[in-house]
Amino acid sequence: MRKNLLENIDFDTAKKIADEYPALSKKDMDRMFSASMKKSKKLSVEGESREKIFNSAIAKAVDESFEDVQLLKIEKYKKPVISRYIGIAASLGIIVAGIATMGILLGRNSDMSDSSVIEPATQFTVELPTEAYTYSHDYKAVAYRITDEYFNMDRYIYTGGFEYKESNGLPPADSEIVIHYIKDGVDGVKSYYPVIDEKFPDMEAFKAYYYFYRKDGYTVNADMETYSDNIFGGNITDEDINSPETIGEKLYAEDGIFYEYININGKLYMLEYPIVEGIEGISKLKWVSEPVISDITEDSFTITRVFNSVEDTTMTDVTVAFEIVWDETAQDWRAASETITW
Amino acid sequence: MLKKEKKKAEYARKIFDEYCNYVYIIVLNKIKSCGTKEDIEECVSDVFAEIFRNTDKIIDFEGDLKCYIGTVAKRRAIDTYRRLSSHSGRVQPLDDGIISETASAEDIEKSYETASRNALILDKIKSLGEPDTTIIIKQFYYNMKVAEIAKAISMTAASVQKRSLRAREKLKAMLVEADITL
Repeated sequence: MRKNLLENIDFDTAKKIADEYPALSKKDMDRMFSASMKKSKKLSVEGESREKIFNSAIAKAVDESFEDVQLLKIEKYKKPVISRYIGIAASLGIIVAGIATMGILLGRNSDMSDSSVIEPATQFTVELPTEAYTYSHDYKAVAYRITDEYFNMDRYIYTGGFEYKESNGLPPADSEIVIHYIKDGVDGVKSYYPVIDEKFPDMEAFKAYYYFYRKDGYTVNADMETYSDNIFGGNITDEDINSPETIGEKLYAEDGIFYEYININGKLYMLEYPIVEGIEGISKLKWVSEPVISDITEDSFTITRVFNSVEDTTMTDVTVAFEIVWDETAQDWRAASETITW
Repeated sequence: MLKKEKKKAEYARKIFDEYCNYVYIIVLNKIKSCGTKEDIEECVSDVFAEIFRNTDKIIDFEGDLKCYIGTVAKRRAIDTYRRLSSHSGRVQPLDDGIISETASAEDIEKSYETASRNALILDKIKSLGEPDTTIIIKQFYYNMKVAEIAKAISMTAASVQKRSLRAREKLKAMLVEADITL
């Protein structure tokens, strides 16, 4: 009842309740008022000071025309909604593939190396676990085994999309960069897309932006805590920013969303991590429905199951449909693909 | 100059007194699942800091101030929710509560339905009579604990708890009768 009473409260109802049933004490209100005034003054002073420093940093870092300088204005890029969903599905696939590959490599006791290979690619390769299991036609048991494993793995879940070069909601296949890497025993891939934010038209702009904040005397994480927009987070250093090859593995934060940037031949590419699940120690998703079996044929069937957050009561149900096929080589059922409906 | 500053400060206080509880409810509604009382208060302060920075414009503002302040509060609360969610690792539902730049006819219809539903629920809560109305409002809209409510309305925590349970049952029946399921 609590959740539903409060759900989507509209401005009229909120004002009516606030007027007729005020709950904050005079003491609470005085405290918040004084905090608001202090913040307001601080923001006004900092706003003026930051503008001056920013202009100065831009002038020094970019020896370009006035129009080019304008490109560095800090503006928020609005992501196409569809790209968010595509990003989710594609990213989940990549991560599952990474973990599956880890399992195979561990099984073969192969020798892992720390080498990384960068090669261009034109499309995603989505793979799912192909480990062998005991032959079974007990669809329900297969469904539990496959779906339960889905949430028992430590992995990243990307719940956001990428900022694409094209604005039609699809990634530009010819400009996508796929990095194959081995890290902490996991063989995986990451797909980066060309940065199109006006504030980062190229590496020089990225540097100018970076130096602007460095000169402002803020530590990167303090910036992330203090301001919700357009600030550096993570641990980018002067050394990273001047590296001719890469600034990969370093993060920039905006609105609590993390971006990883990589510099390839002077062009800035990025990958987005809105929420990190599993690795950060949270496994707060759970199945909230029984698996439903459908579309049974001789060598395939479909499992549909719904998950939700363990703690976040505002999250809506998410449905995953797994296409299960019979693997002749492994002599077992395996998930061939998954479709997530958010 | 000083007179102008004084006038601005007085106006800021007036705005704050008028809209503080309102902003508090909006912020609380958005970040209650992941924020502490301190987080909510900080977010409320951020909202008013932003509003106070624009006092000059607001003094001459002829539009609906309630909507303007509500929108600032909602946007700031969503920012805070994202920040807190990413720190705590909670999964953020896509597009939850995000205010569209342009409202479609469907959005408007949905907003109207939500507002009508909320108004009806509030009427039913009011019909419970005092002190039950106050208890339910403080509990559900202000997220206050039984002990806090008891202190605020000079009752024992046990009485508040009992009254709350009975009031909720009664409210549930009234809402079912009105074809609203919670």
